[in-house]
Amino acid sequence: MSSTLVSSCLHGCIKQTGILVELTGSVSKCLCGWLWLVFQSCGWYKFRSQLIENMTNQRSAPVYLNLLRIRFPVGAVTSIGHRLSGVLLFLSLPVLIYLLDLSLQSPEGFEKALSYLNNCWFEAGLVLVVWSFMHHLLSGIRFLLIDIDIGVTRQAARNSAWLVNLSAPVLTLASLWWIL
Amino acid sequence: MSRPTHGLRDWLLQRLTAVYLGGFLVFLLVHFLLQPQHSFQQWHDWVTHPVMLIAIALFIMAVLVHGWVGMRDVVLDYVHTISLRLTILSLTGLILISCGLWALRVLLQAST
Repeated sequence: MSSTLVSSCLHGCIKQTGILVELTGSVSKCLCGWLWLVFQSCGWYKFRSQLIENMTNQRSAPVYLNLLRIRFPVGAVTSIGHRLSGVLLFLSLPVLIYLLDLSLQSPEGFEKALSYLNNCWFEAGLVLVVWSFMHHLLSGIRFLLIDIDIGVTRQAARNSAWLVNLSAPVLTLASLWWIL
Repeated sequence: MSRPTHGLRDWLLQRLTAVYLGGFLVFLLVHFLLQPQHSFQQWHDWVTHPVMLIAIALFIMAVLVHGWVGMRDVVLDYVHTISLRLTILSLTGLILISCGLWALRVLLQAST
């Protein structure tokens, strides 16, 4: 009697967890599935630390990296661009805050901040900063989407990487044309 | 605190701040596309609106967290000499904190 009770309870539990798993699966498909993301990231972290462990254990193996012979997959270019643009944005931070400060101090300061747009040195820097901004934003969105399982297949990831790499310069030109 | 917990926390912080930064920046882009501001008064009033002030202050804090985690990852990956690594990391922290304080001061001054 009691064993059938236990087994029916167990059966119910298993059924319910099955439904739960299905539910969380469908939640992960929409953007608000952050809990699911935490869950997944545990697995991702384990995978990553294992990878690092394997890599550090094989330190004794000779490493041959000829930068001219390595061909980067398009996703790697996007990824390195993300890092590079992130560092550039970090470096531009003081200048941007200076401009914010100047533009909020007085009407004269506001005009002065605007007049920097006619300075050719400033314009050269602006191209870099605007590209960094566009690339960082677009590739950042791409990474976040991949984190929640959107566009993970190789073909989709390559397509989106191309899209990011190409549309960042295009958007940069468009926004500079609009600003200047 | 053990390393794995630390790394996971930073990894999640990076994503959460990224969502706020991205959302706010897209909002800014759309806003300025729809109504470009040409006068000081317009710009000043817009920034010092209480809702915008809080949103911008949050944005600055998110930039500090996001910038710190990102720069630290990049430095740890490419700079292997410990002394150089420490120097760059402390400089990064110093720059980020100064920028944050400066930006908050700008906001406070503008709102009074």
